[in-house]
Amino acid sequence: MDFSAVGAAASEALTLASFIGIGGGVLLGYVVGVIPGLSRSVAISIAIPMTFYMSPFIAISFLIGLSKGTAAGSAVSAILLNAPGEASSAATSLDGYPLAKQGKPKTALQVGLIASVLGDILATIILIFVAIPFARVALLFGPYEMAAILAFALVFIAGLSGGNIFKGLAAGGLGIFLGTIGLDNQTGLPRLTFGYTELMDGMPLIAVAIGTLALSEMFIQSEKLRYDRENMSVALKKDSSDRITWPIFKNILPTILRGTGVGTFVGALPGLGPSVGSFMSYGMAQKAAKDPETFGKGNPKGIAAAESADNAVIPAALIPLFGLGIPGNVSAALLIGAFAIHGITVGPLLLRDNPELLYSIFAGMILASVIMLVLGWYGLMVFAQITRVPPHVVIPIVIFFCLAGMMLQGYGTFGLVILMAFALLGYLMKKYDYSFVTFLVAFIITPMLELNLRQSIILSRGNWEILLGRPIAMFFIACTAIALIALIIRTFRKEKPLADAPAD
Amino acid sequence: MTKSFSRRFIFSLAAAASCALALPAQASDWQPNRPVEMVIMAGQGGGADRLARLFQSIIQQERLARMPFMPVNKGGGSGAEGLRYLKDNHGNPTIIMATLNSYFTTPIQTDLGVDIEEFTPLARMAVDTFALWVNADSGIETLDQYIEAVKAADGAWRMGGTGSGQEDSLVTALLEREFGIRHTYVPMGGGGEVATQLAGGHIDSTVNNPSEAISLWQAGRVRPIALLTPERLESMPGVPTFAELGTPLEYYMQRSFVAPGGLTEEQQTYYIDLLRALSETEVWRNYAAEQALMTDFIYGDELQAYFLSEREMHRELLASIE
Repeated sequence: MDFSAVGAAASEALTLASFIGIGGGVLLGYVVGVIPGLSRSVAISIAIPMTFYMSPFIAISFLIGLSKGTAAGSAVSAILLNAPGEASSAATSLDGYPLAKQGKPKTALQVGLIASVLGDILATIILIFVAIPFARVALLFGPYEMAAILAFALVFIAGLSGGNIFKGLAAGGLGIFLGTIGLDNQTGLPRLTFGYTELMDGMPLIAVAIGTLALSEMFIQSEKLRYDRENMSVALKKDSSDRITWPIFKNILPTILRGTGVGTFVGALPGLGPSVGSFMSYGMAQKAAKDPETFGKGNPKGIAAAESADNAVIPAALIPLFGLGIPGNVSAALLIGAFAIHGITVGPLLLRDNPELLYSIFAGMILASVIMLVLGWYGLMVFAQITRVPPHVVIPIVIFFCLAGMMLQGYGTFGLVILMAFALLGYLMKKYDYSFVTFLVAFIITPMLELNLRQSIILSRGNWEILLGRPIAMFFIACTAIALIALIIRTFRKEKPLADAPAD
Repeated sequence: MTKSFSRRFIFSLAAAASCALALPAQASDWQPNRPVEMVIMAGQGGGADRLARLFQSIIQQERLARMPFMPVNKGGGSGAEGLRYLKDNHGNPTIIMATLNSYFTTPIQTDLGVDIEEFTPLARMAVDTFALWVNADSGIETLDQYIEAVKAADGAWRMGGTGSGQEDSLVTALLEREFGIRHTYVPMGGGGEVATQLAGGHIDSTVNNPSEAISLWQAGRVRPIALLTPERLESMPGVPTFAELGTPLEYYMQRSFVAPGGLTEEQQTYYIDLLRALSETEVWRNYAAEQALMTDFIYGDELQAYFLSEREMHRELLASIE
């Protein structure tokens, strides 16, 4: 490592202008994240014009700070309102919302924030030391490997929901079915679009996620309001019992470390995305816990697992970007555009041609995490008050944001119709105890799984033996088989489900 | 009515005058009076999207227009969504669309009720080039070796590219027709993913745009074999063209702007002048050179003629695949 460049980078990262720029990015992201219905890629594309007037270093750090801010902020609405702003925070609400309902909203928010910041900083450090030399590891993952990982993720995450296996299969099946809508990449023909050009790219994920996660929850809550008015809002405790303590922190630390590992792995592979990361991490935390039955009922470890992985994905998605010049997701692709606007080509040569800029960005990323900790710590004091606001005030506001967020995505009236349809679906699923987590994960994973699976079939020409030479794929196929067998055994033993998706 | 019109006119004159120092000479009297929607007929993060956002930034930074240009992605169905949107907004002068080759292929492949001849052609900013790439460890260095290897593989040679019916598959079809070879075409996601899979050795060759694979070439993971351009490219030193090697193969990805049909000549002139000013900025020149884009600026009727001949070419090409 070039130490003079590191020194220069640190001094550039610690100027007033960079504090304001990065702090502004984190703040903006945090606010967008807190509001259900607004998503990260929208935040970034709105913010890109703001960066035209910044220096390249501040511009890039601003955008990365923005991403980090949204990831941490989306935990707030997931925990307090059970209305996650993004699919990746749905795992956070599984334990966050029950804990907040138990009168500990601050504890839940603090656990979420600390897990976010730690996951973020650790993954950033991994990015700095691992990105360039080890980015090529991502090249080992071809269609066979990706298909195997996705199949594993599907079975493993679907298995989390517990409950009635047939209801689980129905929910997952519906997710898979809806995931197949859109243009068939191999033949170029539209499937199940009924002539709507809007559906050619598939059901818009944003509408499905906001509808089933946030909007349906508002329907559920407004229904509850009719006969359970008194218990809807939670009074904050005056004493200091509602805060994160050292024993809690010690208890969740291993979970955070594991979550960071999972998030980093998922982030470094182009395409998987934060929702796969956070649910995988949640599932692994539950399997590893001595008290798996407490998951879904307000276990801080559940929050820590989901949030650490969700945040670790963001710096990790930059590993293929800086190491190989490949964007791992849409946010990273928009970042490439932001670099291009400043005349910088991202890729392995950035280290050689522009080491100071690269180290400045790394320093800016660490700074963003620290700012997020401070901002989030004081922010949650304010946001925790939301639980005291009567629901008949909160519910319409959240519904408004869901609709406004959908309009901002540019889907127009069509998007609103889809949003409402999925809100209704989500409402019925929650009401009749079908796992919407299984549904959503199946919906997100199916298009990627299908693409990689069909590529594998073309590449292998239908020959199974080719897998014998692919140890990584074999490993994940074995994992899938084990997860599947475990799931079947559990069903027939009629054991108590490990964790219910919170129906309330 | 008349009053508000004239007031608006005076206002725009005043605005034009106040911007006169910053603006290059505007031949048109017309100016948009609200933010211009810059529709991108592709999804976020792809080549067309990046380019449109770059244009947005240049317009804003160099103060080329009084009103902001807001990019909107309408990429559904290989751009069908954008094409429909443009048709439904006939006569709306505050919408322009950034196009790519799906501008020709999508209306041919799907029954959209859209005839691109009805749209108002503005200007072609650039054409993106294509090259044939192999993995750096494949040992293949020349086109002859490539042809030989593909023939030896007897149809099992794995060519990766974007979705079926899109540009990469068309270029592949051109190669097959020209050299009498057969590939197994593997449709993948975006161009970036295709380049990565080649670098990882999961496929044998691609026809990526140089901009998608240059950084992997610099990193020594992939190797260009030949360019589908008439002349060599400065940003790709030492790489021959197909024409030099005896087979004049050419294919381009065009990057143009169009507007809905029914615009007045003044409105069309406004945008053409704006895009011309844009094409002369230093930021754009540098970017185009670095990304191996060819930047012959054509506009108006000449552009329309180009569109129509390209459409015919694609119609034949698509027919020959099926």
